[in-house]
Amino acid sequence: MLDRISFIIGEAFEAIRRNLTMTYAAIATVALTLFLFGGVGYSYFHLNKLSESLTGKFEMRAYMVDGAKIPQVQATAKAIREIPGVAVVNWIPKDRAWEREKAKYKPEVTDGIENPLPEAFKIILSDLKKADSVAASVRALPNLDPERGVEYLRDEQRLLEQTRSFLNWLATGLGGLLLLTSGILIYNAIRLAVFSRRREARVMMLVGASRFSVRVPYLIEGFIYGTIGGALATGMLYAAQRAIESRLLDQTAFAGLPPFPIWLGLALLSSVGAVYGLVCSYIAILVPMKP
Amino acid sequence: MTDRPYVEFRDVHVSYPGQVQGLDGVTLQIARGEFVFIVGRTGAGKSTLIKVLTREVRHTSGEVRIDGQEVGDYNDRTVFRLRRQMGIVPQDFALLPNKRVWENVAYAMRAVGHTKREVRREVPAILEQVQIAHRADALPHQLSGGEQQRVAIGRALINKPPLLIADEPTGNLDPDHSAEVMDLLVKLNVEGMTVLIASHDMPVVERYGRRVIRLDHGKIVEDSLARPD
Ligand SMILES: Nc1ncnc2c1ncn2[C@@H]1O[C@H](COP(=O)(O)OP(=O)(O)OP(=O)(O)O)[C@@H](O)[C@H]1O
Ligand SMILES: [Mg+2]
Repeated sequence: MLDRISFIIGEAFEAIRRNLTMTYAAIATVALTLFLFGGVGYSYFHLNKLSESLTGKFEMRAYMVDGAKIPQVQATAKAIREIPGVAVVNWIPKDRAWEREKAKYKPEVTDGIENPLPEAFKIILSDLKKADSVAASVRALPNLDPERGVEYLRDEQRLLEQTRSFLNWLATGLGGLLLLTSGILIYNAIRLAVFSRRREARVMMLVGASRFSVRVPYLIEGFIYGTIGGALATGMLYAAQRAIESRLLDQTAFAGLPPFPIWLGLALLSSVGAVYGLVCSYIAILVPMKP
Repeated sequence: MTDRPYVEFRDVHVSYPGQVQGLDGVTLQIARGEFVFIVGRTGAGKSTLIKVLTREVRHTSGEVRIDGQEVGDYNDRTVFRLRRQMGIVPQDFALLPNKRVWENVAYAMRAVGHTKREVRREVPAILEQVQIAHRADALPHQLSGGEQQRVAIGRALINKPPLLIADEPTGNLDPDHSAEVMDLLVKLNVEGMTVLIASHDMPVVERYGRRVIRLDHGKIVEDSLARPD
């Protein structure tokens, strides 16, 4: 049995050794692909953490129609509190707000003016991603000012969203292209191996080797490409994170990212690579060779 | 031994794409231990007959049995079992150019699942049997055509097959080397192996005086019985 395995693995390495250029190309693109996917996935993970930590700082204001009565204020506050994504609702009575406002100006400016402010609420979100849906729900409540309605700081959120959609784009566009390229390169490497081993395959066929022992070396070859590619991608990710971290630490009072999960990354990326390599090489041996 | 023919063709047709008839109704029987030449002009169907036996080509109709087993019943996954019952010597030898003589045999043995220990034990015996042991460390291109042919025959013996099939074994050889190779095949036949040879080397065929099956346009036109030695 061991003898059998050593023969088959020997055949796989022989095939790899014969086409080192293709081997290099296949492994390098797999590594690049998995580096991109791994990097995007990892950044996604961090962005989510970041947006959760920013949530406390995100608040919005909601304004009621002029002349709203206390029971209406209470009912509205209660309704807002029940909206998913809302953490805290504080009522800002219009009298108190007007006092604060007046304190900013000289008395002459504000004297004689009737309090123009509406009853308002300060809403703190528990989940930044729900900001838009919370705003929409609040706006839909009765007795809210149709014009001013809801105000909130969207800039940071928009930045996060833009980053996220950029990552999305990067992953689907560039990632898809790279995935395809690496798949084609593995496929080609295996086809080349099949071609360069055609004499051996013929001998094997003549003396009655099973189809399995003729083909398995190619599957092993694809598997090796994927696994090594995944391992390299993990190393690249680790290096990239270290580089970014040291930049940030230089320039800001940045506390540092959590340590890169190197073993998890290695396990994940190598197994994804291995499966991909297997699939591509399987396709490569199924497609018949032209004589 | 039974009376059942060892190799049996019954009304076998092979049509290649484009209405080319490789075999056109071949019926024949070969008993265990026979030594048979398949002869005929180029394109007569000799190689086709052999490839049907090795199932490199599928017959279109008719029956082809080896030891009672229909050859067409094997599929691509199981056909290796058929091939282990026969030693195949292809016309071009199919030796691996970058492997030494003993490695060529060893590689084939490893490919069909023999252990390293079995290889170490059996390769010298096989090389001895085909009289090439003295060139065990040579590369194929350093050998004469006859020597290469003997390596290919040696490789065909690794499964100790009861049937040896050779396509034009003397095709590229001068008379001396042809005799060398033919003597070896006769020796294997004397030792009990059934031998089937496609050849258009008529002097050789006539000299050995064995059973001759002549093909023309895919049909058997002559089946001479063996002349006693
Ligand atoms: N793969 C193929 N596709 C189409 N036609 C084929 C194929 N192989 C053989 N033929 C045709 O079948 C016929 C028999 O060919 P075969 O190779 O059996 O002849 P042969 O007797 O071995 O000839 P030779 O002495 O030249 O080796 C020929 O007409 C040949 O052109
Ligand atoms: Mg022929």
